[in-house]
Amino acid sequence: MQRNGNDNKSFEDNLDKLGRAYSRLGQDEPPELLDQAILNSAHRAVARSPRWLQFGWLHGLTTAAVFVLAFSIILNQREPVPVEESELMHNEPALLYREKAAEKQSVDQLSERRRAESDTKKDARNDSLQAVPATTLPQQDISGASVQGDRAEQPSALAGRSLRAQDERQGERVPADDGDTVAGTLPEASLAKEVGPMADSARFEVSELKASVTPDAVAEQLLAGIIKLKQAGDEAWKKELELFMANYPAYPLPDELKN
Amino acid sequence: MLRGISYAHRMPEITDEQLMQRYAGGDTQAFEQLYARHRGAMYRYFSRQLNEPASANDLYQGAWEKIIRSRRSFRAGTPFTAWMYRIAHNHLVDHYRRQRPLDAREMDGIADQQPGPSQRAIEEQQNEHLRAGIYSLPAEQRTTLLLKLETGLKLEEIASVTGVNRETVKSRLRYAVNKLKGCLVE
Repeated sequence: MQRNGNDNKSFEDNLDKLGRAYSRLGQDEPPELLDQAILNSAHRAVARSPRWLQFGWLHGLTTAAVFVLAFSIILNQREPVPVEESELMHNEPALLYREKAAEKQSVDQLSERRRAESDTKKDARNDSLQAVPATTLPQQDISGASVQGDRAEQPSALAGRSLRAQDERQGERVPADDGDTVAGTLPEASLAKEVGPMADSARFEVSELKASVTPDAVAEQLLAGIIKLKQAGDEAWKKELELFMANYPAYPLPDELKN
Repeated sequence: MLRGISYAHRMPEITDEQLMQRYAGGDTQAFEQLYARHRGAMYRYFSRQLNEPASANDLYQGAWEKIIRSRRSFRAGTPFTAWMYRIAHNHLVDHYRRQRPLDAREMDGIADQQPGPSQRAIEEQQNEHLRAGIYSLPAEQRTTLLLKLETGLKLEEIASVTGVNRETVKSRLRYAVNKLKGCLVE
């Protein structure tokens, strides 16, 4: 330990002596031309590099943005790949068509069911009409001689009341006899018109009205309208009456229209 | 910061590291000041490594150009002197690798060619002896000694510059001092 300490001290002393001797060697300086060449090189190096290149992060960011932009443009300019027709069947439009077809089928089934229900009701009305005594039924024979005033009005009125009573028992709406709401508003063409799948309720009402309006009821309502025209003094009632008699030649006329 | 006020009078307080960062940002005046601070020591580092002034000049200029090119690789917190001499040292090592190593006899021959005592004053003679002794040192010892005497770097910093550990630096210094002990005349 003592020897190591002495060696270190001797080394430090010799190093100090060497340093002092070295300092006496003189301060050699580089030639002035060499200084100028180095300074010029330093100036050129800074002047060569553009200012924006000193922001390395900006340079990298700009490069990345250009690449992303170019890639997106290339992707956007690619033509769409042609799709086979069989693939179209599995695409969204085909699914939409299938859904619409299924919806239409369900609507048709619903219409059939409503029609069947209305037929059932119609049969029930016919049964009730047959239940009325034969002496009160209107004469449908060709001669029409037995058709008399009071008797002519009574059967249809009885039949109408019978129908209304039956429908009211079933809790359904029956059109009034005055014909304000029904007369001339339900042609067969409009009834047969295709209704949209979203108009189920409206179609239900139409089918119900169609089921409740029988030819006799229509005739009664037409006659009621003609009577109103006559009572109002409108001469058009005669023309309407002729038209009615052309369509219902055997239908008994009420007393108001006989003269 | 107010416009038009010169901060030149505060420039000497700026550290070498700050000057180098300013130069990396494009401030050439910062480099001029940095160069003025280190030109002498750097030049002597090369001129006393080699006995050929032309080669020393080339090495000196080449080392500074490497420093200029490496300005953006300088990181804050790195001691500038150690960083600069690491570049200079690597440049010198490259020079040694390109040339065949000088053996001791050649060094002795160079030393014998120096003027005799009769032609110079005693002090000049001693300086020449010392200079010749430094030239005669092995390259590693000479580099370590010059880094110690010229730059004042600590042993750890010299170790970082030369790429060896601290004990190796100390050992090389010890060998160099022992060899040059005869040149030391009080």
